[in-house]
Amino acid sequence: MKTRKQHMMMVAVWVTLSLLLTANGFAQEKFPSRPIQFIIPWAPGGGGTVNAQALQPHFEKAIGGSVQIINKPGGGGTIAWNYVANAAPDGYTVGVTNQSFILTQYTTRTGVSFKKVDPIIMVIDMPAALAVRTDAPWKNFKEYIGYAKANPGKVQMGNSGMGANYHVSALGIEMVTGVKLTHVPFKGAGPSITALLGGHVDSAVSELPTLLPYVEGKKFRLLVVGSPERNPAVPDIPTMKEEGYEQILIGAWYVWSAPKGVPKNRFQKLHDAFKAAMEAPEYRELYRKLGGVARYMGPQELPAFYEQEDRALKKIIDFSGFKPIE
Amino acid sequence: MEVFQNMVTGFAIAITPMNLVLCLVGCFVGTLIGVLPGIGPAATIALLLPVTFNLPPATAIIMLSGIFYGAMYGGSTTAILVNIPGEAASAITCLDGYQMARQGRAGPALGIAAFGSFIAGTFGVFLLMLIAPPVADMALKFGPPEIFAVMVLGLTILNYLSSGSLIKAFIIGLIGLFIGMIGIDIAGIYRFTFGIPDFYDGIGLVPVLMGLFGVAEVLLNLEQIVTRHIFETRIKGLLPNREDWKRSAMPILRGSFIGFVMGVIPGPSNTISSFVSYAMEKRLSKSPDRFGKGAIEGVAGPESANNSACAGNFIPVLTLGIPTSAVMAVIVGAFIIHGVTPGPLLIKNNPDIFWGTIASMYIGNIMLLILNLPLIGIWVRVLKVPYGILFPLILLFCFVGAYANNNSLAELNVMIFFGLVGYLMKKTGFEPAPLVMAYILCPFLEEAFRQSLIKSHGDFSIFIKRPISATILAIAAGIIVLNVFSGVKQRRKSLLEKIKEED
Repeated sequence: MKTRKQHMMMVAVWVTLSLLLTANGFAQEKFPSRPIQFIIPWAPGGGGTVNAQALQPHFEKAIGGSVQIINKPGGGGTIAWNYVANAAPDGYTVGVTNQSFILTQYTTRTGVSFKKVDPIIMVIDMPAALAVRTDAPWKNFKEYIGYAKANPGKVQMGNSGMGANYHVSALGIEMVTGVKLTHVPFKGAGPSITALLGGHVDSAVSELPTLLPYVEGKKFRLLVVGSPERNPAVPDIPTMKEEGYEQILIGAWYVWSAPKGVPKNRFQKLHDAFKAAMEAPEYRELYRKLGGVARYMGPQELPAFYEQEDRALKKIIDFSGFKPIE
Repeated sequence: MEVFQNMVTGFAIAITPMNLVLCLVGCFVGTLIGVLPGIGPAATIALLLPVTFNLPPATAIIMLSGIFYGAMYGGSTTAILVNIPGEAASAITCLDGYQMARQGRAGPALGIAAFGSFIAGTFGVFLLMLIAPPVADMALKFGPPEIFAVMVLGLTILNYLSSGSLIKAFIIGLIGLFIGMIGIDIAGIYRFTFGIPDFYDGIGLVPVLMGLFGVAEVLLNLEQIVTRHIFETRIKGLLPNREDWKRSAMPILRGSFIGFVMGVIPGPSNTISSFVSYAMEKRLSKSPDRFGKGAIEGVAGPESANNSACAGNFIPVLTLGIPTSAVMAVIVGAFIIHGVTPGPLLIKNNPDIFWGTIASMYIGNIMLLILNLPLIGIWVRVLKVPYGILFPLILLFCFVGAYANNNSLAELNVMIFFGLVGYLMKKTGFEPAPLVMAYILCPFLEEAFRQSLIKSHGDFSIFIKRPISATILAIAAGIIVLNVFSGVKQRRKSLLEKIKEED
């Protein structure tokens, strides 16, 4: 037989439980109550996935929920960006965007206008650099440009696909210096670096983290970096500006973005968790070694940043006349 | 000897209890995902990477590599049992492996696949240990003209991949080349995409394979449901017998060698090496007619080749930081996440990782053999599952795998489409293997061709001015001449016999 006290206890438990349930129903749902999806527009293994994986543990700790990294490759990234732009604005879907996000507006038919997403935070900025082999005759950018000017079309520039970011960077070099290069396209940055290693092209533009191991291994020499200031990982390499040209080499930056219309408090929570993650010492250490700058930009500055990158890339696209060919 | 000393250090790292356990975990997971069609090692390694965050880098790489070469062991299982390649590299194993299973010899087929994988895997690791740096330098000499030459060589073996009509093999090969051209080309031009973004990067290999082999086979069997007694023939032996070994010894050796060499060259080398090995065995065989009807050489060679190619794959990654395949790209990502820079300085800066990983591959290969042999007994029992249950299950796994591959519904439709195509091809006497081979080669062939001509400003002599590409192209030309010659000879012989009969 149950005692009166036990009965009382049971009633108390039931009352509390039902109160909790109603409270839950009325008050706002706890966020996050299910995994947050990180949408990566590229196949596993690339810089975007690495960034998501580097952020993941610290992000999860900060937001008190779990993260699911989902790779949706294809269409030059536009499949994933369309997916993010059209996802429910409940804060459970965020996607990583980079300079290609801006670029694909002009180079593909399925590109997404950057105005269709809300940028949350910039977590990393990796400057682009121009690399040649260590046995190349050009010791600096001036000699390289001088030779290319005297021999139009003779210098071969590897890129990661026509219309892809570093092809546009190379076109930018042509625009500001007036040289003419021979562009050799490869499928992705990896094969273009391999081709430069093997001496099958003369030069290549890529982001610093990709090039740095080969600079340290004495295989590549950098001629110029694309960042506004010199990079601490390669302090003796001059910037485009120092060489007397417009800053035209656009590197790789990662901005996490959400579909338009995420409730303010959730958006803020996402931002704060990303910010906490990018401030984690492990994250900083990882990118310091790689040659990236953990440069922070918040939702206030980012729309203007998107506009600025858009203008810069549009200018080169207009100069080259590049169009997606059907 | 320096290598010896380094290997002692490597083994000291690999046999710590934690590394042993995680190597086993990696091999086990690899076997599992190898068995499941569609779910490939690249996606799995990416998925499991966060689990390794708190492990030391060497341990993490040991486990993740285990998944990769473990998958090559498992990939043959479904190919042999139900005609679905678990991994692209096992597609060619369907041809003879599945026929062996239908003859009640699934056990020996699975057995020789496991032993071949073990021998080739160990051989590959041995070479990786001895000659990694010079081989990597050699691989760098393969620029666009050389890769073009290799792909041309690959195309010359198309006719060995089918047992039917030569004309039909070429027709279907051309269709394969066409499918390989769908997508955005390297100049940024959209070809045959019909505005579907999922086709921009080409038609996915995994759904095509699962459609052509798996779904088509299910469709075919549905109409032959009355003849199901074929599978009920008693299962004769679980392991390869003496005769099987005699037939397989040389194919395994040759496969190991081809796999390693091809593995170093950029491209989908695991898959191509297994196709090349199959063609080579058929060419060298005294009775090529047996191929496609359950010849054990057609399982032993390719399965050895794709395992030895794994070791070859690791060379550019470990010595130069260059990933030559999607899986290796993920491994490079894993290095970076763990704060290890893959690149020319890896051996110098992180000898523990380099030598530890190599040593663990020896151990992993032994583990995989021990793991896989007892499984054979269980796998062959799968064949006794009634069709009413087995077929829906096969389809279910195909559908899950096709979607999971890229999280894309379009790929599911591609698989269904190619299922129907495969069914019609079987009905009309076309075989899928030449299509698959041509389709895999095409993007690399075209890319390398165009890059070469861009480099030479349109001058075709670039292909014969460079010694490596000139040599390979000469070999390809030689094979074609030889084929035509032996074809003519055979034709003459059969005509002569005919005349004699008529007399």
